[in-house]
Amino acid sequence: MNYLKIESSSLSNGLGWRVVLWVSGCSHKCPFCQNPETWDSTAGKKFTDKEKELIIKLLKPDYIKGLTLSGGDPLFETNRNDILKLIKEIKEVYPNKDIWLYTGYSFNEIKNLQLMKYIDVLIDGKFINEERDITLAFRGSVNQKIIDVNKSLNNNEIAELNL
Amino acid sequence: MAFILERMGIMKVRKRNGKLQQFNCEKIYDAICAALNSANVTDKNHVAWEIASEIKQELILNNTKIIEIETLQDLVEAKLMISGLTDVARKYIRYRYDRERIRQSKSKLMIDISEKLNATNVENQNANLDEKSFSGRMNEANRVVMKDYALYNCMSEMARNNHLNNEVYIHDLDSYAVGMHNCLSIPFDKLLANGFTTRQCDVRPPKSINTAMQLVAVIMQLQSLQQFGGVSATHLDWTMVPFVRYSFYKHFKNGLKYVEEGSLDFGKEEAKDVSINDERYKKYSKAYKYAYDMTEKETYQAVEAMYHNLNTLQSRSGQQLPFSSINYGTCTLEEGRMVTKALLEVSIEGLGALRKTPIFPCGIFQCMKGVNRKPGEPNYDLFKLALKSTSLRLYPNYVNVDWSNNAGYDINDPKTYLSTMGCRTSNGYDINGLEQTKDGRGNICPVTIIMPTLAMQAKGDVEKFMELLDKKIHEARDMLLERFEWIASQPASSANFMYENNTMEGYIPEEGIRSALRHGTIVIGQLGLAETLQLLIGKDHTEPEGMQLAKRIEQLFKDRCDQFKQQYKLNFGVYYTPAENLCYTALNKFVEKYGVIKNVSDREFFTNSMHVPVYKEMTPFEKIDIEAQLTGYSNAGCITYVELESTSKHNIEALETLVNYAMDKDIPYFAINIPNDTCLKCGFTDEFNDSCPMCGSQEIQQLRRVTGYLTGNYKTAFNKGKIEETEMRVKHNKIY
Repeated sequence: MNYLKIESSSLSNGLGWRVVLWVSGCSHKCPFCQNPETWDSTAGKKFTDKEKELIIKLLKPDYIKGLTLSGGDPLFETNRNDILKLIKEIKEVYPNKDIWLYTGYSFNEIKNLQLMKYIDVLIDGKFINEERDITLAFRGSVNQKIIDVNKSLNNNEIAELNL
Repeated sequence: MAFILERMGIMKVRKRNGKLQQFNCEKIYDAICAALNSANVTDKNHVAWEIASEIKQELILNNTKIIEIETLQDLVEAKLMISGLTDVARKYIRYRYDRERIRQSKSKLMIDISEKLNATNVENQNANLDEKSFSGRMNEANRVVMKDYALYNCMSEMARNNHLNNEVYIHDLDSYAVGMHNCLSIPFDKLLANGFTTRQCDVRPPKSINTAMQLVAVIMQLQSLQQFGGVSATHLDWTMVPFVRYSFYKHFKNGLKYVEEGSLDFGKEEAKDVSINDERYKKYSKAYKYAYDMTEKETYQAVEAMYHNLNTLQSRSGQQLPFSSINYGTCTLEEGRMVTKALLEVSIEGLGALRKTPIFPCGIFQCMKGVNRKPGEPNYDLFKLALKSTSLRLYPNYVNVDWSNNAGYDINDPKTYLSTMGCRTSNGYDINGLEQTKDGRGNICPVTIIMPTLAMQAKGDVEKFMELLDKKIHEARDMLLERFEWIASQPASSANFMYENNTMEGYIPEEGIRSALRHGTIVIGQLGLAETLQLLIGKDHTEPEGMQLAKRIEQLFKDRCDQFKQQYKLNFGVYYTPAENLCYTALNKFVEKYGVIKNVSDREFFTNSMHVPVYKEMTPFEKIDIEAQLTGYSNAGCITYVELESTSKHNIEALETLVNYAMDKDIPYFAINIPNDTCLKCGFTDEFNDSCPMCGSQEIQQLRRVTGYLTGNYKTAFNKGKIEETEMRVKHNKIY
């Protein structure tokens, strides 16, 4: 898996202060995508143990609430294994930090993936320019949902966070 | 023929102002006589007349019709030299030179005045002032004269040289000569309880929250005319408790008349001491509910009207609004909570047809452990509301009641809680008896040491710099003492409102106004710590070595101020200067003298006080960690800022974490900068590029913070240095 950048302290990609990993590779290619440079899975640099250690270090302070995975699409086919490995380890080191993930897939398309059990909040769906609303929190178009993953899986019904 | 020309007045001299004057030989004679007089020449009248006549003859022979005054004087000079009167010639040249110098200095002043009067040199030295307006032009022209007068008539040569040499800057020089002081925290509790007098009438104590709030705006305006700086309310939520109660009583009585029958066993005067939650009210549940709702509504409207007043009453020339600041947030009584809630809700709601962000007052939320910091504390909900307001409106800022330097405050007296003047000025411990009381005190006058100049003079030698800095701190002391005594020598009649109503505490008529002024602070500020460290050791305080030296420098400021305070029994203090105009003018003067130096003078501004430069990339927490190591050295005012994205409005939780982090790190005064762009067509507010993302309009107002306050559209209201500084501000985050 390749990545483009790691942000140490963002407040624009989920609640609280968050470390954000921007990965490469996306199959959705939404028109008017804000980061088309992330579509190519070979863009950026290789994500290695060094980057993983950096993320673990950046997550350490109490004021950091958790990790956000964005891109690109962290669930781009060839990213899934690396993402699973990464978030599994992060949950072991920091069981109380939460993980948010942005994907172009809809919740139902990916809800059975193994890695879903490590994700706390999922922002799903393609960006649809016709449904763009700049007043929305943490997402670009109205069709995209902020989903409480645990609750949704348990109830087998999508539970949205009201943000 | 030639003779006729002269006699007919046809030969003319063109004066410096361009006007033609008839040639007159006697004037040349007079000028030469003046030179001869000081040269001890015998038979001078004869010599002078001979030379004057010769010149006239030559001009006539050359058929000259118009001669320039300078050419005529050159002729005189030449004649004197040829006649072997070299000594006289020298005197004459000297005389010409002196006249020229006086002329130039007069015309420089006149040119400056004319530029200001015609607004051809708009510098935006103070973003609150409209330099183009009629009164602004008059004011600016006046300032030119007042500054000049103060420099050459009201201070020592030492003070003047420090100011002119870009070493120690005298703030608000235009207000020096009249002897005004800077700013004041107004004792509203007292003024509202007793009423006050003005030149034209007297005002009775208010008997409702509505009236009380309007008088707050009126008093702020009146006081701001007595001084050159800001005005503040130090604990407005507590102050307003009795007036909320009066209003509640009034509405409750109506409730008993129209909603539910009943009676009260106390009258309106006693109402101010009766909680609105008193059983005597609550037992009539319908009347209570009615009175509660009406009081809440009245409080909101009262605050809204006060906001309007503070944003419309342009009370100083240049269409300035009073620099007003309001501290609040610690009162846990129902009435005080109602006031804080209204202050925040009005701020969030915005003003005018487009619901624009209010420029004034600067709201300051007083964070206090056990009161409003954590879930479960009585005013935690108000803290959350404050954060919401900050995310949308930049205000409130946050002041730390638990700050270690405000130790010794009285938990039972909100007048002693840490509060600030919006810019950052705060009243530390008063050595003359008022201790930690903030009300009725303010800053009397500041000076600022321009440290990069000293670092240049020390040629980068740290020890030499420290020696020089110590010398300048002592001179700064003397400059402050000079000005303090000048201010203290003014008659109380210069500021009747202030001294008749004791808005400044402690005035004893027999002792003169010094008796009140001595409770205020006189402060030594500083500019450009970051650039100074670069000059001295090639790195700033974002690196450990730089921080070590920074602490040594700040320790010297602190030690000296503590020492002066004891020695002179005046409240000397260390001040982390806002430097709104100075950051730019000091840089320009520096560049004129020393040129452009990398990492020092290669921008349009010096970094204010001890701040981390705005262009340094780091997380907001790292910025707090760095500045928190230096804020403890200051007792007269400092501020710490971080820059965030406008998306923070969706992330109040993140703001809460951040403010709590700053408070826990013992930051005394904390402010969050979030771009605040408003579309002037549709009112949408967010961060824009150059057009509104909602409606596409390019008519936008870009609000940014300068020196603690907000002021209009930064691209038109800020000076050049501040515009560049604003544009170089990086959002605090670190990217790998």
